[in-house]
Formats: sequence, C-alpha cells, structure tokens
Amino acid sequence: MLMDTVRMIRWFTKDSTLVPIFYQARESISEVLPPMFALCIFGDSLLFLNSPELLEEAYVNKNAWYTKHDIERDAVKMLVNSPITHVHSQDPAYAPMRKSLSQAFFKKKIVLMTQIIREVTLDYIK
Amino acid sequence: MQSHVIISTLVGSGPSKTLLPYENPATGEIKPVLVSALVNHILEDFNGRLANPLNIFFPWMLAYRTTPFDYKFHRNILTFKGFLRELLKERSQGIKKADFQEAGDMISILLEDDYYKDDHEKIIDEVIILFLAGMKTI
Repeated sequence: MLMDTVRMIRWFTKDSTLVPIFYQARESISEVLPPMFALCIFGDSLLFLNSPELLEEAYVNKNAWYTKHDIERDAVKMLVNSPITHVHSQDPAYAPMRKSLSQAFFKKKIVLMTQIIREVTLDYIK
Repeated sequence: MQSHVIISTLVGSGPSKTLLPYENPATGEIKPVLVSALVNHILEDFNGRLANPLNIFFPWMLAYRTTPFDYKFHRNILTFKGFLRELLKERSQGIKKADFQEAGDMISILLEDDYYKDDHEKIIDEVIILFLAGMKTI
C-alpha cells in the first residue's frame, strides 16, 4: 500500500493536472494495462476495469448491482452535492436522473451541441 | 482549448467568454480568467488536494476544509457556482419567453427537462460532473 501511495504522490508532484493513478499503474504493473487490475491507494484496495466488455458488464448488464464507493463522494463533496454519479443505483431518484441525462444526448440535441463545438473551435482558430 | 470547448457545450458559447476571478490557492494571487480556465484551475487544485498525504491516508478528509489551500479552493468553487446560478436564473427566464430558441447547451437542455427544471442546484452538480468527465476521458 505504501509504495502505491508513494508512486502516486510522485506523479502528482510531477504534474498536478494528471490523473496519476494510470501513470502509477503503468509503472507498477505494465506499460499495457491488463483488463482488470488492483491498487492499494487512498487507504483502501481499488479494483480497476480496463476493458469495454467488463465496463459494459458492470455499468449496463449488472447496473442494478453496482453502486459507488463512499470514497468517490468524499473526494468531490466540496465540488458537488448529489450528481448522478453519486446517487445509489437503488435510490428512487436515480432512474429519472438517468433518463433525463440520456435524453439530453439524443441526436437532435447532439447536432445543436456540435454546432456550438464548431463555432467555438472556428473562433479559436481565427 | 479542450476545456473551453467543453464548457461552451455546457453553458453556451457566449457565457463561456465571461471572465471570473481566480484565487491561486498556493500564492493567494487573484486574477481574472475565462470560465474554462477557472474550472481547469479548480480541477488542478482538486488534484493537488488529492496529493496531500493527509487526504491520501484519510480520504474522508477531502470533504472538509482543513488548510488555507482548501479555503481558497472552496472560494473558487463558490465563484464558479455563483456564475452558474446567475446564468441559470437568466436562462430560465429566457425559456419562458415566446421567442425562445433551443440553444443546444447542456444547461438549456436540462432547464427544459421536467426532472431538473425546478432544481438549479442539481443542474449545477451535473454540469460540474460532466465537465470532469469530459476533461478526463478525452
């Protein structure tokens, strides 16, 4: 646990804009990360899924059985109160939130959003 | 650029050009920055807090303000949230007008949604989380 934590602090001090977990994992496991790996950081053992199939299994097929660890909520508590990522899958509020947010990415809305991206990018290039 | 594009899709291209004060938590220096730069700084400072050994060994401490850095970090968050609150108030009044046109940005979409339209704090939470997701998954 200590070595994983020390590695992470080292990556943080190199560049605070990084999410250092993956750099640390590459250093301690292998350059090409396996589909599933574990690290001991934040005083806890964390399991990482690194393949679309496993993610689909956790987030889609077994979504009813999957919920978030309190550590995720604590880490961003100062930033947010209860966004969709922090609501338990069993919470009655979860289903309407998920429905509303997925509707926000329907095709017609994505087209309008893409126009904003185009406008901002062209403005930046000019 | 990436953060500016993401914030524009979340709040609209016009409001994303607003300048907001950013207080550097390390030096205390205050300077006006674009909304996207402010959120980017908040994200960097958030990562900086994660590197605090106290927070690594006692992660529940992340939810509390314990150092001067934390207080300045929190003030920057309040600045950003204040900007979003004002924008939501303005936008929700605009939506009620007859000549309203769909804008395409996330806060306008959520303001039209039955679940989110009456709770601006929920929209603010989703905007911040979507920004985090957008910045760290591209």
